[in-house]
Amino acid sequence: MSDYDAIVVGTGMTGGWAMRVLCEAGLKTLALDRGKMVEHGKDYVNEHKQPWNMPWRDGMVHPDEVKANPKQSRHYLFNEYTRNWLIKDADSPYVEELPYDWIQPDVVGGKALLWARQSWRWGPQDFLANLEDGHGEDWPIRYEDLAPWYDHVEKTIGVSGSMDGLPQLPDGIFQKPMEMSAAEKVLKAAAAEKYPDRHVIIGRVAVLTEQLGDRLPCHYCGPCARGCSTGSYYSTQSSALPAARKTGNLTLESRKLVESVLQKDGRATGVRVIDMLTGEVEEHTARVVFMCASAPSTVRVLLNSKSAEFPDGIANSSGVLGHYMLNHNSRVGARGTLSGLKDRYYQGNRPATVYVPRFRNLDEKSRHPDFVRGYSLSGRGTRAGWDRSENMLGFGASFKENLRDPGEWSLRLGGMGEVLPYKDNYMKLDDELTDKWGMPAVRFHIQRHENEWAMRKDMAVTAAEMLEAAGAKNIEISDRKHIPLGNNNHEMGGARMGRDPKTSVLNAWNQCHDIPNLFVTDGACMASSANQNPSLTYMALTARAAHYAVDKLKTRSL
Amino acid sequence: MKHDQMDRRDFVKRLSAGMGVALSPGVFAAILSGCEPEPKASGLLTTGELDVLGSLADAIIPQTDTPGARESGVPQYIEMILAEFTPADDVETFRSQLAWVSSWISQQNARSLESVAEEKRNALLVALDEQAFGAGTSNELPPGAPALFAILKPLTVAGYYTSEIGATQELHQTPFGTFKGDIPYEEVGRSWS
Repeated sequence: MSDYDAIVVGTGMTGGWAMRVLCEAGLKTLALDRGKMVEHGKDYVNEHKQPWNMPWRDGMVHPDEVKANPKQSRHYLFNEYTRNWLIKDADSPYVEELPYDWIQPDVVGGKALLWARQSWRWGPQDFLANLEDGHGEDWPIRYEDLAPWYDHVEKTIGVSGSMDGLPQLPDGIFQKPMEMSAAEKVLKAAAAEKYPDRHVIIGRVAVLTEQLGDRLPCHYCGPCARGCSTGSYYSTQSSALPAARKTGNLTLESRKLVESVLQKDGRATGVRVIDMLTGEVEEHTARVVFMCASAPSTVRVLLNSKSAEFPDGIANSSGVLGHYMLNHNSRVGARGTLSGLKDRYYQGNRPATVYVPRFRNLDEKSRHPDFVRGYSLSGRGTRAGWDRSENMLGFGASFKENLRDPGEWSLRLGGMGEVLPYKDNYMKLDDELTDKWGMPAVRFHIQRHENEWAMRKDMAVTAAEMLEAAGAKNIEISDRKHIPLGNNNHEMGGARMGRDPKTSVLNAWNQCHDIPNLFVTDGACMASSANQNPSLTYMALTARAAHYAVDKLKTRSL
Repeated sequence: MKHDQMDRRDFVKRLSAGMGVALSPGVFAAILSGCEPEPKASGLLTTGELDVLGSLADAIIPQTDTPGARESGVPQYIEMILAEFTPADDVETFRSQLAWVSSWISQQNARSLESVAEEKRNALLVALDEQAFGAGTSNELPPGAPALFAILKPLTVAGYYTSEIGATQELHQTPFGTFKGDIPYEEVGRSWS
């Protein structure tokens, strides 16, 4: 007899979905997270705090904290409002064979609490890309396999957006969209005129514009990542956790570090866990194990689960576990100012950007000579605030009067590009370094290659072209190429899905080829990255895999 | 919006990190070291220094139909930035600059910046502002005047508009509840803080 029917490792974007589906199907489920517990509402301690409420004003972090956390402090969430939800550097040593930012939440809910809420479907072309251009292994599923699960996830989490009819970015089930600003409307119209294949659409975000159950529509306060007590954006806390708890089938334990997956006779039997507060080691058994800890953390646990059968890590007969790590190529774009529209403004902080879906390499006509695949652009058109005065002449009453009105409009667009799968983009365990709980540290060897560099150039060019078409002046290109890939959050790959057990870790159901009752549904499963923010796809894959596991358990065929 | 808030923090970070470049070092350290130590108010700066700082801050953002910089706590804000975010050498440079202003006030036979004749006071402030943000250096800058405004003015601005007074009385806070993407400015009539 097992302790539980199911164990879910991680409670974020995918762990939340796995525990919800498994619990709702009647399975006694143990969910484990290394992060601290954050309860909905009551633990959102900095929600709605004002700049003057903060110890160093408006999110400034004391230099001592920055010095103590040289890695996590590279990320935008490392501000005084949200930095306590990231891991401490001292708790997560890792080795950068090449520069890599491994930004880790340290809370139950993980990145589902901290995410940017962008919710894009992949298009049919994204599941065919590996097959068609030969980079990476063919996906074992197609858009049609995932489409009903996209529907299911969108209905459950609530996504606002517009129906745009673009084949490369399929429409979904949306709540009403948010509105564009005057400058964004100018950009949209100018692009339609000059670059008809570059559509400017409003962001599709997992933020409610209409009530959904007991979750209220957005009140547009702005900084979602501090937590939202009205549950207006999708998070584990606002949606998955209450649903799972309601079943009475969930056991949730925080501050538990999963050390390895237990295995016997080609099956996963449970997990070995370190209580992070007492250091005690526990073992829990279950009929099925879902790994949902984020790509690097999941791969780390799998690599650390060694046996006579799998000396290089569980379910690693292919030898590709830890390889083909992916991310997105970003922090490049352009900005410019728009004169005019002085009589237009906006009210409220919109938790969505405007977005330009991929327009490169979709057909012969859009083929780019220097790279394969493509990228999206996203950005905003806003009016300058008081901080435009940084280099402004003047002082006194007239200076103050001047800053009372908003300044010029500015438009900015930044790229997010696909990163190809490369075997030599890998992570592995260090032979000596461990964290304070004795878990081997990770070594990262992940970088951009020629295709990514070529695409990056084009992102800046097309962003600037679009701003120019909109009549922007003072256009500046920014390419922050010193920021390594990990900083973009979208950790993918390392345990990729595929058709062939010799070249992939997971099958079409996110099930390990080698171990049928071990599932990996977080970003580690991705066989390519596409250019869309990946969370919606992770959630759809997880919901699909969890329902599959439930069906198989019911028929005792897992 | 998230990115705007990040830009604002960067703004202050750039200031505190860049002080060493922007401030001319130690010309008036001699003046400072020649002074008797004054009692400290609450932290790093003396009450006299806070007073000069408050006068300068109020000259940059004065009381109008809303309170000015001093009332919104800008001197204490700048003191915090100096104490917690600024390298010691740069703090000393900044203090020496305040000391120069104090001695300039004394030379005008005045007790405070406010009591200096308006024309003279304004000439100094215009010259300091020109020196920091204008096209070229002004002829009217008194000999030895430090590059004070390059740091003081942006810090005053940041401190003011992130204070409760600056953000809620001078500017307006975005009300919670609705988002309107494209509305006439006259319906709002004020910059959001």
